[in-house]
Amino acid sequence: MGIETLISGLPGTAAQGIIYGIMALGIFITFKLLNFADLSVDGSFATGGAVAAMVIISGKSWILAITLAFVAGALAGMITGVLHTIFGIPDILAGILTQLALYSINLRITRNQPNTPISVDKYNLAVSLRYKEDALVTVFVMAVIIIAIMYWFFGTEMGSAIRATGTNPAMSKAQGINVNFMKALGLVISNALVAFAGALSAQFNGNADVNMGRGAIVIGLASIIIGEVICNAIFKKRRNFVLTLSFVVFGGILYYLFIAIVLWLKMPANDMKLFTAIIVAVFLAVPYLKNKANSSFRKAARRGGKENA
Amino acid sequence: MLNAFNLQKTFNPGTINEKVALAGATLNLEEGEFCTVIGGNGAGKSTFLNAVAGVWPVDGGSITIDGIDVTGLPEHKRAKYLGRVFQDPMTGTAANMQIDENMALAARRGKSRGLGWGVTRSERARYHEMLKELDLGLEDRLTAKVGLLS
Repeated sequence: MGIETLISGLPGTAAQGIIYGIMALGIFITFKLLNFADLSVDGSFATGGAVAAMVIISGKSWILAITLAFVAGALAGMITGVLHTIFGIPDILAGILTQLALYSINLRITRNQPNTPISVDKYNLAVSLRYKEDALVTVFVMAVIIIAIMYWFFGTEMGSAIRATGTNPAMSKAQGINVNFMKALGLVISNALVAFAGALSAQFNGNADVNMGRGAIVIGLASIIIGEVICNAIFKKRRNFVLTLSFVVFGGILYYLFIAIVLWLKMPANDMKLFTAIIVAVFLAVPYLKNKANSSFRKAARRGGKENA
Repeated sequence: MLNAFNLQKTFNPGTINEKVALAGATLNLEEGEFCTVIGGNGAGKSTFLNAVAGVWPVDGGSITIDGIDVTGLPEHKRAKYLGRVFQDPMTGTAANMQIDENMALAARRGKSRGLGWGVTRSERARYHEMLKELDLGLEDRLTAKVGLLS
């Protein structure tokens, strides 16, 4: 296969990357702002796809489909929130329980069909792989709007309270913040965004699959971390919240571009999860090792030795 | 102003780690009064402060602030009636947030937090003036993360 196939596929690759980027923005809320490792997203991404597919099949518009997917994701987030705050289940376990439960619920939503096709020939969809350029513009505009809303919201009193909860719950309580409510609210917003991305992804690929969310959390983390590393490298101290959010989406694009290249090189698709895990591990390890290299005892000894000589 | 009456608190009751921390602690403070509580390690000084702040519910006794019974209020609701400083300054601040954001968080203690700006422009100007008086150069670092300060 020539390089042309890769290039001609770029708009589609970028569109899917931005969809993952939107999902990563949702994960960013829990992982970075709330300091909560929420694994329910693997389930809520597929929930978004399932709800959107069923609404579209019933003949309703894609706007309603995406809206209801958003609401369904919010409910999923609330379940994790309730499990964690009211029943005291640790964050990771609460997320895993929701994710597990959602697998069955998602199958119920799609009337026990593991795969629900929504062809762009039959239905009016928001985005489709068939019209790559249009899809790219649509998801780009959506990402910009979401980043703008997130920038505004996390600058408000309520958004600040969510961030304070994530960084110091003890202090937040002392300042009169209901930390349990803020955690649940963060989870609701996060999973709503993830389901929103799931709804877009299902339409883009023309089907909602019960397994489409598998690995979503890792892809999201990959986008966040890749974006963060690159943003730090380019902007260093001038990094601000808008740039951070934009680079989360950019990280999603880069991640999916990487996957596209790997696929184009004819590497077996089954190895994809292995590649993803390796990318995330590398991007997590590099900043840590770099930091460690800058403050190493061995270097200190060498510096000291020079001064004494 | 503050009336803590006959406060009782036992940690890990019924276990081998049972520890009676407060047994009838009573303290009355009037407005403007200043009070120092001293005691050896494990005497219950921090426990008493935590009881008043509402970190956990007391086993017995009552706490009234300005005539309002706050005994049954959880920490975040009680925060409306009292401010406090933590033993470790880092515990009392949000390290990942900016100086002005931390000040604004504290300024909204006990108030409902809606969709207004977390830090308004006028607040930022006021914080600048307030910090200037300290003469530590903090007024020019309003947007620095608190965790970076020593």
